[in-house]
Amino acid sequence: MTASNQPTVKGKALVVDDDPTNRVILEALLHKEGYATTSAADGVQAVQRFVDENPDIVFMDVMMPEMDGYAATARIKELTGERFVPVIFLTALTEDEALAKCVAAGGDDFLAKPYKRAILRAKIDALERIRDLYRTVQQQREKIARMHHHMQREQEIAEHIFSGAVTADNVGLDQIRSVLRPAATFSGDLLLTAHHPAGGLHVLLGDFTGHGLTAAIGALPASEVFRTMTAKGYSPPEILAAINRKLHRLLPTGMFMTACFVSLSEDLNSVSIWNAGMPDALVLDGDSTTVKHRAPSEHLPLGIQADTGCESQAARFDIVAGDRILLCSDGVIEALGPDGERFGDARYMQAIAHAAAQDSFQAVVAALDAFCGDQPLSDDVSLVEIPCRPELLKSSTATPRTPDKATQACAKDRWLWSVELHGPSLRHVNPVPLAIGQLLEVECLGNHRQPLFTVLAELYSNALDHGVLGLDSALKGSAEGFGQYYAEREARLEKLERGFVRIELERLPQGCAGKLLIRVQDSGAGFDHTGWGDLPDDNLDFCGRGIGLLRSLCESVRFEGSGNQVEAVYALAQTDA
Amino acid sequence: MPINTSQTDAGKKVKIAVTGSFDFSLQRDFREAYRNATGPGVEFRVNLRGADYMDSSALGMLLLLREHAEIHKGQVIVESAAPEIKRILVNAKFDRLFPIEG
Repeated sequence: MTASNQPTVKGKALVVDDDPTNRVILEALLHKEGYATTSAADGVQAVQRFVDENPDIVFMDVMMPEMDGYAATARIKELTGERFVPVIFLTALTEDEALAKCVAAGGDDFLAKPYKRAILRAKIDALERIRDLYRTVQQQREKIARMHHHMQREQEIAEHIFSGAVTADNVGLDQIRSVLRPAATFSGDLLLTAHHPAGGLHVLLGDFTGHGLTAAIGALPASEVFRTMTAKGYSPPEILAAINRKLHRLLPTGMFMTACFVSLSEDLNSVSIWNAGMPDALVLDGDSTTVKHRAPSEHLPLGIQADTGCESQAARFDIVAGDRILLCSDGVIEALGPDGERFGDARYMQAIAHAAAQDSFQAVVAALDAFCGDQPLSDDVSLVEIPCRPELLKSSTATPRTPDKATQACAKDRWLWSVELHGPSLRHVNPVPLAIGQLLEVECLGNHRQPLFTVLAELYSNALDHGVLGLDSALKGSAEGFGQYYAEREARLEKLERGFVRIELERLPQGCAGKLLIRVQDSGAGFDHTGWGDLPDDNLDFCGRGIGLLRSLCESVRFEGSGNQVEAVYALAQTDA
Repeated sequence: MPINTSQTDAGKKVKIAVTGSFDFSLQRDFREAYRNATGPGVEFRVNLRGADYMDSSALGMLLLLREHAEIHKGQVIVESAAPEIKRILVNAKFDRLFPIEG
């Protein structure tokens, strides 16, 4: 091995030739070009030198003892792997076939004997350019791979935190069956569930435009609105309108969320479904595979217009315990099979019809899997089955958010909160969630949330319906009267110009646990309440049921004045939550 | 070409014909088709005769076109959608946002 003494070394060249004279001449020329050199006298030695010294360029004679230039080159090219190490054949060969063999073995260029310095320099320059390009490409490729890996990791972590924030507070997931398969790391599909303080259940299955991170971005504000408002006792149309407003403000044009909002009543007798752009929601019979009801899309998806139109009536169905509600995202209906066909509504319905009783959910999943094979998902796929069973409504698994200790009222605190709504504002504002919201801010309600909501809702509807609107509750005595009652209520509310309802909450410190005084006053004429306090509960008819319920939940309920004022005392003690 | 644009009536009418799968892959072409039509009162006709599929990002593209048309006091009409495509439009209640013809 002869090392160059030149200060600027461009790299190391390996010269392979069985003729020592040729080696010396070429090495001398290479030194002049700024290369350090090493040499070998045959193919076997060349491979060994290559492994030992890791040269940057190889000059290879063809005819040599032991192992010829072709075999040595092939071996060296195997060893270089990802690196680009040019091999230049040293040859006097002129036959085309021999030259072709050099290329086939992995040779990059030829240098004819006798060597001319100008030619050698030109060839080296050309190969250095290729080598530099090769290195740049390789570096870029490594950089992209690193970045891709990094991004993937970040996305996975973000997704973990994100889905935790969005779905961690879901309830009833031991009862509700769901399959949510994202097409990318982030899912644009969203399943939210929460207990309503009145005892019912809210479920929202949403699907944002597209999939991946951009689609998932709206999930956080949507879930926040859904949870906060459900906890305070807002109704589904109010919640949908609020989510719609928020998304309309946040999302760019062209991005929206299709959604299906299911509200299960606390007595499991009925379900209301608002479908905004999702595939039909289905109510399935509990014991068979019959589709009892269908709720097709009736509303614009959320986030498109400032106003949803969701305030219009929901699809409302009577149900019995055991019925199931099946929801899916369009990713199910539009899933692609291997031959470019789509799963389609027909296959979806067929899978349900042919399922064994109670097992429609599994049947759809199986049919979808069989149809798609190992085809990658083109969109997020979600399927949700809500069983209408009493266990679903038990809030034992729910842990309502409690305020920070610092903001929580202690047992000795006293506070007063009130709201007064006048005339037309009674049409637009529901004060019950406002009151519940206030209570949630300062008290650890625990198990009191549901009874308190019932008490407030009952007192408020009495004040508004009978007091301000002057509706006769006797109307509600029959089934058709019930509908008539609500139509009349709607009409009078629409025309309402005067009148007020005032709600006052006062927390009294009492011993170690407080009492809550709830006073409701309305602008109505009141009623003759003498003797009400003496009526036994079982003597209260249909219309008076509200009062009986109030009595069972409160320490006391007392009407005052002309009957347009009521004061209920609720004990906040003994929360077992 | 999946997107074919033609103008008539001195640029007052722009017809955008979509062929094949109307999805995210056409986003750029679809936007290019109307981006420069900024005269007042332009009528944009999206012809879906040749479209055999439409996804939610295509619905999003229609909303962007609608916004573009609103800015320039124009209007959007969607026409000649096959039953399957029409079902997707009607399911999303897009018939409330612009006329869907024949």
